[in-house]
Amino acid sequence: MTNIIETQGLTKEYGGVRVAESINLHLPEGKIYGLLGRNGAGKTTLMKMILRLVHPTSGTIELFGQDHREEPGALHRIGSMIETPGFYGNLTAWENLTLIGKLRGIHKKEPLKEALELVGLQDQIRKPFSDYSLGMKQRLGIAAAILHQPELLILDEPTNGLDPIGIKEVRIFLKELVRTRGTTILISSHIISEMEQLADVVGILHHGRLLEEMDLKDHLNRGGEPLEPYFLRKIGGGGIA
Amino acid sequence: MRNLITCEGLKLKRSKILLLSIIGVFSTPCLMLAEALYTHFREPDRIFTLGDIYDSSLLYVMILTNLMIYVTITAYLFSREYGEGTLKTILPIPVRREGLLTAKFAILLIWVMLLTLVTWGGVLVLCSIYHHFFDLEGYSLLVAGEWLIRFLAGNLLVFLTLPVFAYIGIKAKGFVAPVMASSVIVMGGAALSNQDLGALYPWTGAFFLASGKLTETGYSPAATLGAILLVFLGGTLLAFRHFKREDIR
Repeated sequence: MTNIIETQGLTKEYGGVRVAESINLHLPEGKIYGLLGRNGAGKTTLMKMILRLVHPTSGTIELFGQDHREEPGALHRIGSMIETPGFYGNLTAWENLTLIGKLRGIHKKEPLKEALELVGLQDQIRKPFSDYSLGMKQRLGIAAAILHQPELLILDEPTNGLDPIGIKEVRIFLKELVRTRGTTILISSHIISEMEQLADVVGILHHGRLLEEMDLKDHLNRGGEPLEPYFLRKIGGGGIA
Repeated sequence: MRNLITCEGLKLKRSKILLLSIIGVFSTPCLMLAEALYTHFREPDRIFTLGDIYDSSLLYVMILTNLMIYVTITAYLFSREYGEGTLKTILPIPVRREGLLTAKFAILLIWVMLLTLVTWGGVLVLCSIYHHFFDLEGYSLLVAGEWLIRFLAGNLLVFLTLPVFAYIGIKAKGFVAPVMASSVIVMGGAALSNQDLGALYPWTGAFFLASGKLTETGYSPAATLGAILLVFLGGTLLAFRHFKREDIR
């Protein structure tokens, strides 16, 4: 199977401190890859390096089979949401999406309406972003990420601030995207149950190191431990086990 | 690029700072009217013209009030993306970092020119009220038109000094540092506004050039323009270099 993202020896240092260390990540096409790790494990830094927000100290990134440094145009094929969505507080949801649409070269209203309907915000479009609740902000972030029907979605903790029903809706929605559009998804979370229900492939990140990549179904079929005890054992208990 | 500039304009929709900046620069015409009335009642025999009022207002525009407002809007334009966490949304679209900064400088230029027009127009309108009651010498659109050219040229020179504040805004990721820097610059400007050496200080130099007072200092226009261009190039290079290399954390 073709890998949509492949990193080799990806490393990032801030002032001599390694926050990502020699990461070799492989994200197969059409799969949901769950990056699992504690807060500060390096999940966001890894995603930011893939999105060119953070410059790697060393290592390579291949996106869609092309070297990321030589082919930055691959970003056009990606939708992303990193941490809490960043939008302009003085603009409404509709204006924020219009702005992003313009920058993406989308000048029609239909894709905007469709994205807002998909995340259930179609009745809240006239509200300024600053008046949105955290859950609504997350939904708008997802709407902006899927606006251009990307082949790859990179979502950093997308269910933060969502209530249990919202979390379930996002899960169903993401699975539907993979099923109907063949979208590949890289998603991060520190909530193990969420990863267990959503991801096809799980990567365990700890102290900036990718400890393991595994096909979750294969792992369980082989009689492997459930994800929670396995994860805790892998990261050395984290003082919990 | 036009798309990026349009988007920068859209980002200002419903933004309070736009209105505040207009009110802020309108303070200069109000001060001029107050000064004219004060002079009229205190020294009724003293004759002053529309040109005199524009001349006085140019000092406020280029060295004091407007400069501080320009620095504030520069800091706002260049640092708000950090405050609102929008770079992580905009840059992966992808938007080229250099393109984003260029669009911000373009919208800053438009904004500065708009505020210049507001100040110039404000002086004209308020002076027309004064002229209606007390008859202002030399009140004519022709004189105002001549000063409009000086205002636009002078503020274009002031604009060239703003990239250094953009750099400080990007580096500090907020309002405070550029505004503090501007207060130092304004103090320096006030101190040098009647000194010959002011010709080499970019902010007073720009004022001397626009007001036609440079010849009195003995320095050549090339020296003053050189100082302004040095600040422009330094600020621009620093801003672009830093923003291009920066990690968005």
